[in-house]
Amino acid sequence: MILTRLQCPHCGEPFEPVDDRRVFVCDGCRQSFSPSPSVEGAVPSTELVALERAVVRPQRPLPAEGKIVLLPVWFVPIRWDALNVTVGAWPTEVRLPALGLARTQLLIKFASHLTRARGAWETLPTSRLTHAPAELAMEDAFAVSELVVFASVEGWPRDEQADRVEVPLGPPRLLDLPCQLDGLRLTDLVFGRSQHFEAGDSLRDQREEMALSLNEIMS
Amino acid sequence: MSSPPSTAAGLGINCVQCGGVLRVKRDRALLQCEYCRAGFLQRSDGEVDLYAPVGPVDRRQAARALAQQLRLHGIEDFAVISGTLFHLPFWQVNGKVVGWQCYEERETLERDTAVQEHLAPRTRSVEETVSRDISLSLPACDIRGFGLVGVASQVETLPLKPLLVERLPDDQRVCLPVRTAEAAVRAARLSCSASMLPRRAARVRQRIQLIRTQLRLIYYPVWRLTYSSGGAHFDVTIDGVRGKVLRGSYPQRVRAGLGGWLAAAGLMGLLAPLDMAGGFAVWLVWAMARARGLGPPPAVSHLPGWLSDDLRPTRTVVREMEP
Repeated sequence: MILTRLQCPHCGEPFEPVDDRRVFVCDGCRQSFSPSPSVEGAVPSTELVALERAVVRPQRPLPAEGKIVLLPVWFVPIRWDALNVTVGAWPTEVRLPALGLARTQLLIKFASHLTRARGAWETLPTSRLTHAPAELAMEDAFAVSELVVFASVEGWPRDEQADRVEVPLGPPRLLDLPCQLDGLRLTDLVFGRSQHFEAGDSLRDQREEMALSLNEIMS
Repeated sequence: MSSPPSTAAGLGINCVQCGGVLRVKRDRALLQCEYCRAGFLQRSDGEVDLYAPVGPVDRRQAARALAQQLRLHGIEDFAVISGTLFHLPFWQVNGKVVGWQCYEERETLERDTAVQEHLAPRTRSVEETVSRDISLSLPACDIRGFGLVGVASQVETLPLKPLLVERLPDDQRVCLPVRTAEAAVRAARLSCSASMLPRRAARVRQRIQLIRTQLRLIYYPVWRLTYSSGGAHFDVTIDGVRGKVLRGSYPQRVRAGLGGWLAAAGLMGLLAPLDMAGGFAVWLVWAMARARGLGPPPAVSHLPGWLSDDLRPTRTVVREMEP
């Protein structure tokens, strides 16, 4: 067994061990850290590794009501070309919220909604926004993403493929999706999907920071 | 600043910062020092960690549990000859099962069964995602001889400590796991796959993922005592944590029926006319031998009673203990 000390590898700030949390955000240097992914046959590192994160640019104006929060979401590309299947309008990436592991079925349902949503997106070039800690580490995201693909694509895999097909997934990226949180209703401001969501205290209101960031970009 | 690499194997589960006790949180992978509040994430390094319940019962307590059980069966006179503490391995698999499944379910019809027989059963297609937290314990070797069925409920609540095999006394035995770690995880996955589906499911398509899997070997202590009673030896196994008899046998005195009486009388009756002295000697040897095996040796004072209640023919049967 290996013990990884939960503290910032850069500035030594301790991280609170919150149940289910695997992505920690340093209050001091504002960077995100996560345990290194497990590789079969190799001893994992005892250090937390830094995660590159970015905020997705809102495609809709900021609503006047509710909080503006950043929902951490794993974006995992699907490499359909490796399977030789005709994809048609199938999703090309899984968008898996990295919070809500305690209610996994709801989480997959939300992920399925987000994954089915069409629309291009881009990240904000600079950000004064604060990333939220997350629950799903990269290897969790890989495992759950496969199920999200099954739940999102209608009619695939066919019966004879279901037991053995492997969904070819690309390298995941943890991004922050700007959302309106009104009570327990979370509506993302990029794809426009809405879902009942119990975020707890991990998502803080960043309306001012978001408005400032958008103004900076516009100017 | 970065923390020094630390492994829990050499330190038990103490805080590497202050030496305080690390408490496991609800999320079993997270530990927190109860003194300095430092947090730790435990991960597998490929080696399996061995644990055992804290403070197993000692031999004296085991013998006391045996005495209590024997007393219930009316046996007061016994002596423990030998005792060995066995550590039996169980795989404990913790984690979260997440799955997607698609199946056809036969609908239950509340109609007249006579009519229903002529109708094709109605089915409905179901597609769903499922999830469940799991904590399974599976025997890692053949434990049937010990009378232990499973330890899931015990290991959930018991405080555990790392088991250091090399520090165990010589009179303790550690059983080697035969079932591999991969086989244990596979068995857990299969068990979960089956439990996620309703009974009437058909044409099943299912993908199950085990995430945040934690695997460890729990060595559960079981005493095996050999005791003698009435000249015979018996084995008994005793739960090394709860101090309860798991399995064993004990002698039971059973009064012979009419057949026994007739056999004894017949034997005496045949021999007596031929040689009264010889017949009496045969009877005496038989009676003493029987008496020595089952209870206090017959006192001479019992002899005038001849076929008295104490010397009534008996046989011994070995009964299984019911814990």
